[in-house]
Amino acid sequence: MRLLAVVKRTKYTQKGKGAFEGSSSKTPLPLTAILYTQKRFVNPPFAIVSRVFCTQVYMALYSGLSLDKLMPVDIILFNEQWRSYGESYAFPPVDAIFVYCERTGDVVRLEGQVRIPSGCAVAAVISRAGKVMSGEKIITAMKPMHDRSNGLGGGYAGYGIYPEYRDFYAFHLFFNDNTARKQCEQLLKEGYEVVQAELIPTRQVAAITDAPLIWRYIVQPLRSCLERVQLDEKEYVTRTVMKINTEHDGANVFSSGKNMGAFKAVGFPEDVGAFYRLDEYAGYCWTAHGRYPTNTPGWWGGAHPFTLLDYSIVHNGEISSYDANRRFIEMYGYKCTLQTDTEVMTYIMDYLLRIQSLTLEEAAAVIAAPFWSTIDMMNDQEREKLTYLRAVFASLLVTGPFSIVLGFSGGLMALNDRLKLRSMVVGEKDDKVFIASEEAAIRAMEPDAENIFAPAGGEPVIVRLEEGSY
Amino acid sequence: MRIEYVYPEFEVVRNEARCIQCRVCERQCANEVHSFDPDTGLMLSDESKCVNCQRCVALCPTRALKIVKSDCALRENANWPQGLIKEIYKQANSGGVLLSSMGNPNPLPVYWDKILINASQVTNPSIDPLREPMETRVFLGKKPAKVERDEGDGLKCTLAPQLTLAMPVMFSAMSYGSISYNAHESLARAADALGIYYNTGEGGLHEDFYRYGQNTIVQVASGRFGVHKDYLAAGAAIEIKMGQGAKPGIGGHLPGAKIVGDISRTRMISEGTDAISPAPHHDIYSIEDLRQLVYSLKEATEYKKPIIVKVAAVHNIAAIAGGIARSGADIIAIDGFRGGTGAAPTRIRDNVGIPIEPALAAVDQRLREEGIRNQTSLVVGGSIRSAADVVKAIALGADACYIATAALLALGCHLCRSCHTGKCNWGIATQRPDLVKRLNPDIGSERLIRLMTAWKHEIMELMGGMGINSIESLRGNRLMLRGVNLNEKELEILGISHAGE
Repeated sequence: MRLLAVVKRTKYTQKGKGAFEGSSSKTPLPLTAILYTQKRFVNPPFAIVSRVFCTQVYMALYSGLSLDKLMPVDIILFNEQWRSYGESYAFPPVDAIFVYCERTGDVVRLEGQVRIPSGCAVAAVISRAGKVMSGEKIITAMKPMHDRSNGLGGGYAGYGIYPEYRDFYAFHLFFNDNTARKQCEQLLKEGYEVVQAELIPTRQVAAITDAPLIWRYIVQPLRSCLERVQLDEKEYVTRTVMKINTEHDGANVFSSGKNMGAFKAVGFPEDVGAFYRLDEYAGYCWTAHGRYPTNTPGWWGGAHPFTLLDYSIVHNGEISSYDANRRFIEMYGYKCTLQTDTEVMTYIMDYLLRIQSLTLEEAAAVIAAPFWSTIDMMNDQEREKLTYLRAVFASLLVTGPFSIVLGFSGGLMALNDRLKLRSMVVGEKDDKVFIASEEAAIRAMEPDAENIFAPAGGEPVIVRLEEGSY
Repeated sequence: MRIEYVYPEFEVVRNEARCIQCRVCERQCANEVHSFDPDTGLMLSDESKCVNCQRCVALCPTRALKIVKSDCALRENANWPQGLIKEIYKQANSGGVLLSSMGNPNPLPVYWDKILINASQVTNPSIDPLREPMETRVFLGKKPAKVERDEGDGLKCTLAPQLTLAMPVMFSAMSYGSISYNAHESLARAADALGIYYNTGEGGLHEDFYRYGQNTIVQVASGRFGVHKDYLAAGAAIEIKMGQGAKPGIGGHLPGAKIVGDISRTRMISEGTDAISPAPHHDIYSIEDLRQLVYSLKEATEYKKPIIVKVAAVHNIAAIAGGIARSGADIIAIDGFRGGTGAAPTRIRDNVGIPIEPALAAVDQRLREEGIRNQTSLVVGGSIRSAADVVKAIALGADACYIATAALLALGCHLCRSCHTGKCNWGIATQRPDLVKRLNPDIGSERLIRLMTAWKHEIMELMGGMGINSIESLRGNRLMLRGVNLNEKELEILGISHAGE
């Protein structure tokens, strides 16, 4: 069970500080003060709440995306302590703060429903020969980039980590509680053969707190179900993921590929890696992310990577085309439930690569399209092709700064925005290719890395495993 | 003499100390306001004829003239504004339907002015269009739902016919007849130079302008004036005009007096005949009929040209647009109720239809809900007044905008709203040769080019501020907009948040 504070908005009556409509003897506090004293929140999130004053704080059970059990508890906060009237007691940490708007009765979420601009660090390593590495290496990469994240999110994706189940889908889920888990398991059992269900092993790490229930399911869609709904396997799995993430309160699928898995949490990436015991997994490709959300509390579901099927995305940037991209991609069955930039990027990739069957190069030419001035100078064949892609998928052009690493079965693709507004460097050594926001991270993984270069904006760096190595 | 209760709206103020009796004002005024009194040696004014077009003011060599609103007024009455009272007098005099020109001038909400645009700060760099590429190229037309590959696994790059715009603005339909030859020539030449399109309107295409066909949209309206095979083949696209924002639900009427010479020939009707466009297309009584016309036109042009269906923004516009999108139309054009006209019944212009902003928002949202937004392009008009309006329209979901009033202003229109009289002193909305020649197409097209170039710069500045360097990343990007002074329902329909959210 998770706790949540809901702050009730009241009107400021201009009678001077301390006198507010709806307040009697209670001392109201600016919401900014609450957020500030809650330590976890680096900034007051948004302009709308910065001038909001509250007289009442509600407690509610945090059950996923809905807020059905609001209970007024007459608690106000000051001096870094939650205190009820008459008696003082320590208040449990809250998972999210919502603002309750009296006039409309709406509750405004501060995280999960609003777009989150963020800074960040990315890193990746892949062995072209398909040699497996423990997660230790990629954790090492994140250490010199510590200051690129702020402790509000870190995560990893590992490929080739479940070889014994390579033909099965590995679902990783966050649950708020066992009720949510049981509901979700029921849904899984109806459509899948569940060959394994277990808690994902974690290690006690002081800096990682408030962990939800984290489960792993190794599953295979039931053939009878596939035939009934007449969908191919991947589409079937995609719909299950979308269904759980949009309709199941308190449950979030954050990994759903074959022989791969995402691991993410609120915390610094090196702590997150230790927490998930990544040193005990072995994969041929790892990607990593450290998050620096600029104005939000940060939560587990909001950490990177964002995944769908085998695709995983770690992303550093802010997408200025976000709503254009989101409103386009949502036409095709995707639902941006988290409303972070990166989520939409994952769906765009799935749409272009799986649904439209574009090649990686073509997909890169859609989201980081060459400028018209460049296209117009190309030979006829290239110009025709790029013009076609830009015209047809105009709404999937991604503008604003980004560096992303897309992981998929058998390879990865690193890509910068077409103006190269975010740093990203690539290096190699023997069979390994390294990608990171900073060279320091590459050197941390491989001090003798060679051929280090910064790919140009919009120039995809595609690394594939050698034939037969996977 | 019958008392007609018609009082001058404007006052001609002549500074006698400056007036040199050169009689320019007299020669310039087609409304015959000014006259010279040989007895006194002074200029006289008949203010009842003045429409405040400012032609005399602009050309007076000694700046001796100004036109001001008359302060001679009826007794104030909040329930009976002056305008309404005067309209009653006019109808009591004439027994007819009142006519007006240009867009609805009444103080109805202009949502553009209640929408504000975002800019990047800190987390996302703004982009300087003077230093970085900034793209405004737009393709209008059908896009495939699924890409196809050939045997060699290459992409099949054949698209349905598209219009390629260098910037997301086009000149909206104004017929030859409602505006002059020189106005048409100015628009055609400007569209050609700018890499955009102008629109013939429903009066056919003058043979002299066939050479601008690559930048011309030819219109097919309910009267089918001037429509023949060569005309259809001449344009880059064909627009079926189902409705117009200024007068939804009715057709058009160009009086026989204007059907002379070239206009008669271009419209393919006898001189002196009234050109009456019926209210509906009499071969389109429902959506399946529209589909037939769309495909008839495609057949006639061998599927080489995109078909635009233009409708007025009316109450059920979202569902109508959904139907049009499925009728085979490549592009939907929606015209809001503030859109202009050369002549429309006043009651209809001022009371029928809805604003373009909610219409656009509703249509874009509906087409997305139906998953067909990428199969049709959306063009909006009906009072796009500035580059900011264009940016807001694109962010709400439009692919491009139509402008007409703004283009006429660039040609010298002073919005006196008297087009229907045919006596446009600026040579735009007239067919009188002595007036038409006042508009020099060399200068007119230059002014249009400069206006559009200026807008393009402004659009690029606004985009760069948002950290967006290509127009398609702005399209439908409603997070870039915030509302002010809008209620919850308005925000919900526009699909935007309030400022501060």
